[in-house]
Amino acid sequence: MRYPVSWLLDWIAISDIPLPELAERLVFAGFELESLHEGPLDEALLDLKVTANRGDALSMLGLARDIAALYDRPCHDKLPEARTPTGVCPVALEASCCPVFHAALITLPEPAKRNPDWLVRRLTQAGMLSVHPMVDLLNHMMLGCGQPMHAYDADRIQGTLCVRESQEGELFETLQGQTLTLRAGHCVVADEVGVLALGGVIGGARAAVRPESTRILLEAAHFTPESIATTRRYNLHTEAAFRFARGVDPSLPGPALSAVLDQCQALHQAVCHAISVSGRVDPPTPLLLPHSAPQRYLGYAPDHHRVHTLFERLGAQVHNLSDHWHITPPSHRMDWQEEVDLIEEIARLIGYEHLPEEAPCLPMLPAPPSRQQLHIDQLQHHMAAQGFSQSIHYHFVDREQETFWGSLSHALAVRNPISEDKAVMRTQLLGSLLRTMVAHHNRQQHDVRLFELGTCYQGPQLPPTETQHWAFVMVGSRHPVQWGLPECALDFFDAKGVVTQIADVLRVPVSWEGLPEPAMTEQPPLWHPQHSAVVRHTTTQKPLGTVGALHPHWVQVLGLKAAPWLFEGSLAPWCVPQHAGIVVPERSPCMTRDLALWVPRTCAYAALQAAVTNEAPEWLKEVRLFDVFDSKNAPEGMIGMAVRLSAQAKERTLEDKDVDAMVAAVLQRLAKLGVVLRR
Amino acid sequence: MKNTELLDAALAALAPINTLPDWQQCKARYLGKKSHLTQSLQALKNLPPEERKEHAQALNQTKNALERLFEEHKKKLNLDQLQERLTDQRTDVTRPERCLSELGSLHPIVQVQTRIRQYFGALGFEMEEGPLVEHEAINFTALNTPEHHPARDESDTFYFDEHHLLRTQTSTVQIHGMRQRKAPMRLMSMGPVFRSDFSVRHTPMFHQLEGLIIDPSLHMGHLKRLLTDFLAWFFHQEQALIRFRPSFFPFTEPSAEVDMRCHHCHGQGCRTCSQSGWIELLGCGMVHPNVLKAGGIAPEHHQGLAFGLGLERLAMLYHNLSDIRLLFDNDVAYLKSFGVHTA
Repeated sequence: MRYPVSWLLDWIAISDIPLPELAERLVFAGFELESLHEGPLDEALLDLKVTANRGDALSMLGLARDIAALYDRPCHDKLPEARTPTGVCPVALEASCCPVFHAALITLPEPAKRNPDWLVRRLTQAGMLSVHPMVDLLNHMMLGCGQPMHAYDADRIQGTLCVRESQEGELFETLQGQTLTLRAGHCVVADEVGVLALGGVIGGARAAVRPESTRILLEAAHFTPESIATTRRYNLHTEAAFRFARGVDPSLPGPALSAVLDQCQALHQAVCHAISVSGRVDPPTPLLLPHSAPQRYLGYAPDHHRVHTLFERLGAQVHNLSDHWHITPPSHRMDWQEEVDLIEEIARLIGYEHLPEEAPCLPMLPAPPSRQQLHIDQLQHHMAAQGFSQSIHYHFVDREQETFWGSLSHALAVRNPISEDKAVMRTQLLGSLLRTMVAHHNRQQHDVRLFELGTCYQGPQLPPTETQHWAFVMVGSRHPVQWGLPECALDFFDAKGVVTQIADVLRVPVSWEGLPEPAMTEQPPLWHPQHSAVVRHTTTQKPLGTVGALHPHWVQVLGLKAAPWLFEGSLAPWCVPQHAGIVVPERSPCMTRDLALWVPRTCAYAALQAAVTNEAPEWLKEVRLFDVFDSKNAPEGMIGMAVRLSAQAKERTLEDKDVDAMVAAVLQRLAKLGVVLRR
Repeated sequence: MKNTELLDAALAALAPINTLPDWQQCKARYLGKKSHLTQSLQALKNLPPEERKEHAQALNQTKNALERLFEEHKKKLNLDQLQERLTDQRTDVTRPERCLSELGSLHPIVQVQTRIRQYFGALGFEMEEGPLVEHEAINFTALNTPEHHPARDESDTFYFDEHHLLRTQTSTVQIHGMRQRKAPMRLMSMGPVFRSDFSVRHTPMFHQLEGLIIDPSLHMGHLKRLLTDFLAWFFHQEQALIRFRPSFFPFTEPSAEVDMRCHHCHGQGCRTCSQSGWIELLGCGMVHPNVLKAGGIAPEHHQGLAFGLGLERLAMLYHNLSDIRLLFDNDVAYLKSFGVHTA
């Protein structure tokens, strides 16, 4: 809100304070400085952001009170007493949302007579548009003392006025020309015909003051923040609603109306025919503040006299008792509800720079990092070490992505998304990773490795199930292009290698199986059925994730040159602590034998390896596949493989005959699978 | 004399020799079985005894000298050969190295989280997590923001239905944390939060940090010290260039905001800091009694300190970034520039 200095001077003497200094002081009293304009008196102003608890400061008077407390000087509380009711101008109060309503009926001898220039200039300086002289007068008073008021053309009011709750479906045309269909339960000012105004928010077109209006009904009332809140749905952002939502002094209507009537009489020779007052407000409840409270909350004990004066300057009634202060809040400080609110006043007005900076003394309770976190740290580090960059994508994604690669029926829809491409909550991570990969591809960036850990949301129930997933995508060359190494595209076993590395780091025993036959669905699945695998925990058989190539359909649709390799799995099963299997070193020498084999193409390597190791002596330490080749010379339906067997016995040196016997037994077992020795 | 002539001849013969086989051949000629010297030594037995001794001595002297000569030449030969090998295959050390895999990177927000976890973990803060889809009773009501409160207006919340929303702040974890524990406690939570806003400085999803301490004897001064120390450490400063000023949040009272001095203009005022010289960094305060009660803690017996800050804001200040949206674009070259540092 803008506070022109010349206007502030109506309420408090501040000419001796340089404006930047005043602004700085106010910042440290809880206001945010939007901007500061120095210069001649009719231009200088402060633009401050007022926090939501300080509805009382949204006026010159309100800010003046704070300045008075800060600089320990009086402010001119210039509002006259409320006038006594007279004449006939009844207003029936039928709703609790409006506890008090002051009304005055006036006539203007000269309708739409212009206001003096100084008033119009002030409004402009404060950023308000000039509307109608009567409305401008009311706005001027609102900015001056904080009471929003409304003017009705009294000739357009039919019968008596009342304040009641709206009924479902009532129509209301605002003075901005918008027609609203009201819900039940709003606070409305109405006559016999219908709604005249949405209480405390906006007036209606029907009884709006016009240039020719001569009989005016002025309204100065109190509307509660709760009643303003009900009208949020209509998006009516008015100065009045802004103030009532943050809390206006409930005892302000009388004096404010009185001040406006004085002004109408002085400036427009208005004649006041009737004044009515309906309802009443309770006085504020006193609060007790123990003398020990500042030390307890702030760490220091300010001088008692200072505290006393501070609250008096803020408008409170203060009685200093033996061990506490008895403080009756002023009616405009609706934000003083309990002890801590008073503590905040002391702290901000004396200054936060006085808070003693001490380290708290707390019990030494353990808070080590969780094992889950340690596992996550390891996973992230080793993915980075393998060349992957960690991404963070928005959790809300486009519907199409979920239709193609996730599960749209389980994706929660955001009722008010920020954009259509962020309309549903993701059930999977790979969709966003793929989209980013495509974006790189379109920028001619063909070597991309990205990984992500993040939450996925499984609906449709609310709240959804939130699960942490991790996923990666990789596309491009196996190694960066370089001399000394041939260029080579990534294949399945590179992706398998990434997953295995993580499994080794986290000590998760994994086993691999091809994908089951895909169900016949309308659209192709994410995974290439021939080049993908399900990863399982060897012991528990729980699925750890899926790894493989993007289905060729999607490669084409996304316009990619090569199929990217993907992985996604749930994070939790990867983060189960495992014990290390410690290997005691052997002193005896290790012997190796290489076997060159013809293997039937239908025989999975896992079966071959199992045939070698099952029933083998425990000194057969390792079987390693070191060559695979296709050859024209191969027997029908066979592929060439070479394995290296490593043997090492405990505490003795193996003899050739031991190893020979072992190899012979291995070959016998392999023969059952159709595997033969190559000559 | 015959012997010095022999030595000179041997020296002359050795001079051009620069391979081991040639040397061996030469040595054989002068010192081998069929060499003149060896034959002379053998012929000694034919000489009368009085002459034998003198001749033997002279011959042996010559033999030793020759052997020394040949050994020295061999040493030189070996050295020369070694030298040649050293200069022969000079490696061009400026060629690119072998690179089986380029180094990847950790996301800058993850790096910030790791640093924060290290710092506050060392101070005994337990790390907590909470749901991202929340009920408005937790996100607002329990945090002292009832239905009619204007702060509900300002929060640009994403809703699924009337009650379920995406959390707008990590303060929700305060409520869960308090309900699951007995006081005293020290909690921290970091994670995504969601607000409907999109600009150079705002994204609809971002990350926040929430800290909470509950203890019988805490005051605002403790909070000030805690945050001052943390910020000084985080930005590698002797003393954090910050200011602590009053503010308002529904869930803390008194409340404060902490600004950091603008690194662009050093407090003079510029576009980055909207001419103020300061950049808003975090909000904090003493936990409001209503929030303590909502967490099942009696305000008469305990006091709480709470603070929250945006991790993107922290990362942007630390790395001097200007556009927050790049942190969610996930361009690989951009991400890689952050490396894997977590210190």
